[in-house]
Amino acid sequence: MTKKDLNSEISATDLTERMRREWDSRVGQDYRFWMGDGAESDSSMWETGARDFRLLFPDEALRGKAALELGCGVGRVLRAASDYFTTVTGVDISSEAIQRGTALLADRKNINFVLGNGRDLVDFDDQSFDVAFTFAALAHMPLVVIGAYLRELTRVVRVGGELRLQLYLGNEQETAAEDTLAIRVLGEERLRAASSALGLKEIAREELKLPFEVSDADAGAFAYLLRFKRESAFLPDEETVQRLFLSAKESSEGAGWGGSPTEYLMNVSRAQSELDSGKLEAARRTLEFAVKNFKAAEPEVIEILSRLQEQTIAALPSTPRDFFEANLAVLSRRFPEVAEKLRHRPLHANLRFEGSAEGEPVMLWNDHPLDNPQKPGRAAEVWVERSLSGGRFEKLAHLAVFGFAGGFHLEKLLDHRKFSISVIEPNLDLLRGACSCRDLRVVFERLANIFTSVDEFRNSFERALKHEQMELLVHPQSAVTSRAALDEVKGAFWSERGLRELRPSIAVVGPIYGGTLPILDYTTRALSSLNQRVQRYDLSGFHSSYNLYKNFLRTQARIDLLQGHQVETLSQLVLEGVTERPVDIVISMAQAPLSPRVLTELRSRGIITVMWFVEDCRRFTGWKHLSSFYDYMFVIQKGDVPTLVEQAGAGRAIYLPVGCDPEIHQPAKLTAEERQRWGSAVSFVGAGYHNRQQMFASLAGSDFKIWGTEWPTCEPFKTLVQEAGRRLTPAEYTKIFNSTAVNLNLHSSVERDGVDPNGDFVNPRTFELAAAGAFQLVDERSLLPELFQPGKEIITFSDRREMLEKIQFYLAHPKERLAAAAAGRSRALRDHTYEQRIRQMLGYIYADRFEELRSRISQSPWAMTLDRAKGYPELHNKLERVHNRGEEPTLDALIRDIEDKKGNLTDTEKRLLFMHHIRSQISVIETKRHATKS
Amino acid sequence: MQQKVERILLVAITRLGDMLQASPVIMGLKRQYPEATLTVAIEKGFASVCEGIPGIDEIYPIDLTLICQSLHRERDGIVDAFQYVDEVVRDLREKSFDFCLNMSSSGYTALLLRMLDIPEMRGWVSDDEGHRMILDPWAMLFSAFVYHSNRDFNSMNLVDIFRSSAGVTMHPKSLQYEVKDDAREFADRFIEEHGLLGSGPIITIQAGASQEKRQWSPPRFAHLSRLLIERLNARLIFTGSSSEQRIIDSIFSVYSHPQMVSAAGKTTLPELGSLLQKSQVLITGDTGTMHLAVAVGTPVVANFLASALCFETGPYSEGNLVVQPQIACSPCNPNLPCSQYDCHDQVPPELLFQLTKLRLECSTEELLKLNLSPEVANPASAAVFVTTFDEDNFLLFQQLNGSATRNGFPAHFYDGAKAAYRSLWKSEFDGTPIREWAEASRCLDPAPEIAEGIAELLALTEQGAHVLRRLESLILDQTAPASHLREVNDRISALDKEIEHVGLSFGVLGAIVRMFIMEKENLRGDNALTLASQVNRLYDTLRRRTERFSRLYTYHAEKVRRLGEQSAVGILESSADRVSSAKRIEGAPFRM
Repeated sequence: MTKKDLNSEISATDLTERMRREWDSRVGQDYRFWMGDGAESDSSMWETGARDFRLLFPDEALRGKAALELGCGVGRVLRAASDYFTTVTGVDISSEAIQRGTALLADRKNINFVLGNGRDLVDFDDQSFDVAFTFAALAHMPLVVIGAYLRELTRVVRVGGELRLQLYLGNEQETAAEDTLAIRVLGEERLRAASSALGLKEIAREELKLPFEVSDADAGAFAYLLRFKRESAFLPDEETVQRLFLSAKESSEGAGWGGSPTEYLMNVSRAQSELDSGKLEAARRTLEFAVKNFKAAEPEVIEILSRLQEQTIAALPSTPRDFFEANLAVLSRRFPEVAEKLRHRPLHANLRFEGSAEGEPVMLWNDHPLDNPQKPGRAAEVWVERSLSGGRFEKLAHLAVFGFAGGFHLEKLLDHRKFSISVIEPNLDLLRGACSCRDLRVVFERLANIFTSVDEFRNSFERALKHEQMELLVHPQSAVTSRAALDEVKGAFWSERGLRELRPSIAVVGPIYGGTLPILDYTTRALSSLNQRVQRYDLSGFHSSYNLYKNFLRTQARIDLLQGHQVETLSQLVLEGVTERPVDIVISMAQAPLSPRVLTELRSRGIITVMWFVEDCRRFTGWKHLSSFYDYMFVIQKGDVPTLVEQAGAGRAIYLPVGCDPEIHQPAKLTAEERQRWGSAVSFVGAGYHNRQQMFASLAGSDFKIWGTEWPTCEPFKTLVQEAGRRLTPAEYTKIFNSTAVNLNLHSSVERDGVDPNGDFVNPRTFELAAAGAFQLVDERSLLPELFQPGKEIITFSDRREMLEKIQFYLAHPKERLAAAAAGRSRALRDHTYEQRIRQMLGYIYADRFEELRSRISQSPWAMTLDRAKGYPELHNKLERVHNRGEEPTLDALIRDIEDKKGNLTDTEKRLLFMHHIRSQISVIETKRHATKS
Repeated sequence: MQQKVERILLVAITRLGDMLQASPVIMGLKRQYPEATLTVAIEKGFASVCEGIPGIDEIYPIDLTLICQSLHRERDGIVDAFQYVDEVVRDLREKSFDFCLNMSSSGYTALLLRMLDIPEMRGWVSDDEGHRMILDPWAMLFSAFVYHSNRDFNSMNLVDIFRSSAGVTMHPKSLQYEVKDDAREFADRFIEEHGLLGSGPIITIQAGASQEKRQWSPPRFAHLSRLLIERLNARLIFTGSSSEQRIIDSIFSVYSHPQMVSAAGKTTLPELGSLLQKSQVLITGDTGTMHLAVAVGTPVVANFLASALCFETGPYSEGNLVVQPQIACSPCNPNLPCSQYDCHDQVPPELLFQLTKLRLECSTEELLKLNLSPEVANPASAAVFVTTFDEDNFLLFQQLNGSATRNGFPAHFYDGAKAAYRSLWKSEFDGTPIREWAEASRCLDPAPEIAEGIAELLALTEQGAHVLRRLESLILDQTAPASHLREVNDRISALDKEIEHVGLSFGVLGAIVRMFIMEKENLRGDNALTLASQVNRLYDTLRRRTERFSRLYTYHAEKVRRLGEQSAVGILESSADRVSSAKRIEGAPFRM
């Protein structure tokens, strides 16, 4: 596997996030088990730490020096180390561990805990430590991370300093790059190559012996303590080192990754010993942890788990007199945190209870019944039956249920017991009420978890969420009581999964002309890079004909009429297009020519209609009559705008600012000639709106250039406006940005002079300038501060005087200028790319419509086609390739691919070509057959 | 063909006529390889045709409609189609054929064969990149004559071309179709039930054709019917598919008589065969029914209209009478529409009546000696031929009404070229001795009408040989700069273009040039020197063919001209207009 492959399959951030998440979760479960050598108390943990430290540093050679420990966890070894070194720094990927360690060792002032990033030791300067060491840490990291860290550990140790590492040597094992726990065994050769590349000299080696087995002779994995001396200041580049740690034995399993087998086995064996010592509840928790995090849990383990559960249930005392007390007793054992939140909570005044025909009470919240008021049990049974029908629950590991209500539906669901069930109930008052009116002890016993906030749920199930081991059911009545929380849960559930799994076919429709046009390209590109299937409707080619009417007509009304017809024609074009190549979602950019008639037709086909209205909603009111034809309107303004748009009929209106496209908007090195053409001290790119004319006239006479259309032809603009005020391409204005010292950015206003005091949204130029690494002065906007930090990432002005002052200041202070530009660029790239915007946009849509899209796509004939083609792998690949491009996998598309290809045809291609030839001749054949049929 | 032939595959997928025209080849192959089994791959709808064709051991029907219907269903239909195709390919591969002949020029049959890996393939195949190619010279020749401007100079029948392509010489001199007993009874019953028993001849008429422009109009058929009934007391059976009934209805609406009966849509193929067998003659256009009549041994009077050209697809047996209109656009391009069927006007009902009468009253020997006067059959309007076979058992069309100027060219121009090519290709491809070579070889100076084209072509082949010599020395010379090599290659491309242009300017040479181009396109190989010598050989071949054609043409044209002078004097004199056009011809260069 080459580095590129590896990167594409498992990105560094993915790895880092996974390492942090998983270690946080382990620390959360039991830090002493995972980071304290299985110790039962902190003091015995410190003891094992001291023991291991002595093995690493049996000598006195380095006493009193400055040291760094990589993978310090909660500081098990650090404590002993702090007695030996003057200062010792511990780095760990887990923020939970760092927090806990800091608290545990607060009295040790020479210990410094630092949160690591899983990649490098960026917080530390070169050669800033005398020694770096690691114990039972580095050996558990993915190989690429080991490589990166070895280089970093070498870098931060001074020449002549030492690296003392606990590693495994021997036969390299098959591991998954995603595994954050499995032991990585390094081959001698790899170690030698790495140490020699890094300029490390091995000075001692000793097999590690502990009171328990650490080496596995059968597998050829031997634990060692290794001592290296850094001999040279030379450091190979990262890529060279990375290459040394690429191994055929460690590959990314991508979406197929189902959790660390090591972690699972450790948990199961732990549960075993807990069972042996009669700690039923502890064993149950350990098993639950094991099963939750591991996809391929053995049926036996799940069986034990369910037996444990039943045993506890059987041991429950019979019908309690006080439901609340009895429920709370179980809750305190199983979910103590939830129990604590409920213990002293009074019954809320909005709660009411009514008896049902079945005898059990039903809860009402604000007079809204939370279960069927007549037959809550029967209704729940029906709901469960209906919800679980369909194949997707067959391979399910976990089910999350939104809404606790009276727990009737949970009782029925828990009867199934094929998968573990967690419930999310953000309204504690409802949970409190339920505990008072029904005996829910069995429910509490059987539930895997109860989450009272969306965050808790998200943190706990992040991985399961990603891997389709989990499904969400929404209890219908609860959906009404906690709308916002439900949206959040759905987002957590479906946004990412939607992006990865749904891959609906998306058409993006651009306008015929205007400033929104480039955003069509950015959006399309973003969709592609998010690996979505996209069809682009760039209608700008029709602009010339759209403009022609005025050559023949003088009356505007007549021109409008004909242009209206053309809009309708283009609308129909899109409709015909999606008839030929069906789509699931249509995203139209502001001013896209889609008529209400066509939008209605699109929706009647079940297509989700989306508009990104990247214009000022207050000035351009086109949305008013179009909103009701859109399921989603994304707008660039906040405040009352989304509400107004929803009132105008949009299914949902959501704030989504514009952004930048790092491929286009980037710093560029320009030639002297280019600088001459495009550069100036101050410049402005944009159309000549009223406030801009009024504001910029005062800059006449300075080294100031204006680029763009619609400027007056009188002075001073006659002189200031460049190249006859023609329209510029994005590539051209990026050149201007890069060759101008101070780029002005003034949001347009047709009403106000100068800076619009009510200006809210942020224009595309702001993001583009920032991403290009250009320095800009922009007028104040109410939504700007949350996007760029004023004064640091962006410099603003509120009136003409401030603008002029700041121009002078920044022209005179290039260093400040560059600093602001750099900060702006890094912020833009971090938070404001179109890719992120589209990810958010789809996130909202997928969260709302996941189920709908999933069933639409799974019922789509193409899904069936691809599925059926699996028997012919090459055909399947070809179909899939076309499908992934957003095209319909028809014979025509396959033939186009074949025709584009040079060289010999494969057998599959010959068959396809055969079919193609037959089809093109069939009409001839049919006619002839008729002619001869006697 | 290789020594051991055990399993033969014949691909003739799509038409009734195609399949029947394959019958002499099938019979010939069975005679030449009596031990071999012969499989025919054919479109399912036509599979039943094969049942009557003798010599077929196995019919492998391919359901093209299923493939198309699956594909039309779109969606996962593509998988069904693929699955089916995959099965077909697997099935056919399993049969491990060692010889195959593809008689269909369509792209898909060529691809099908490429997927089967058959060691010896004739006719159209496809290369590994999916391009169609032809490996043997006879099939290539057929392709050369597909070029519209070359059609005028061909007199080789499709059956003979395919037969030669497969190396078959022991063929029957007729198409073959066996009418089984049960079907034979059908004809008797039909004739009896429709009251057609009596003293007059039974004549079948196939009025419909594959294209409307190839379909003589109903009023003309009505007129003809009246003549046949009134003068010959004939009993007329109109054949056709059920969809052709409306044509018959139109005929009947102009003229009807109790002795006229429609069998359209009422017969299976064997039943149609039996009806044809029962009749004394079939009057038809160029149709599948025509081939079926020939195959059951019933002579035909065939009217080749519009794009139909009797030399290509005429009735393959002796003693058939064929009419071919002689207007400038005949034969026309099958793919072009026509708004006024001028060629139909060239064939009056009276002519077809006369020919039918002749066919009924004369033996084939008598017909072959016949000379029709222009009053009966004006050669300037339509040529009338009787079919026979030449010394090499190739179908031959012998004209019965002299010959006339056509397209402003004297008859000897076309007839001379056809005769010359006939001899040339047989000798070139099969090594058949040119019987007339003793006389022809003496015609050193080309006839004036071809002299310019011949001279140009010969000059180009000479330049070609020269450039090739230079190329070979450059390839051998390691020190030669690459630019020289490029120059030479450019020169060769330019030469080839010039050669192609000569073929287009002088249509009479088109076939020779087209053969050269196709043979060149077929060259494969990586070794520059080998390629160069192959190209060199092609220039040599082109030169040889040009020289031989020149002498053969000059010889034959002169012969035709002299014959024509004897018989055509009357016609030329009868029309002042024609005389002046004949004069115009003398001065005009023979470029076309």
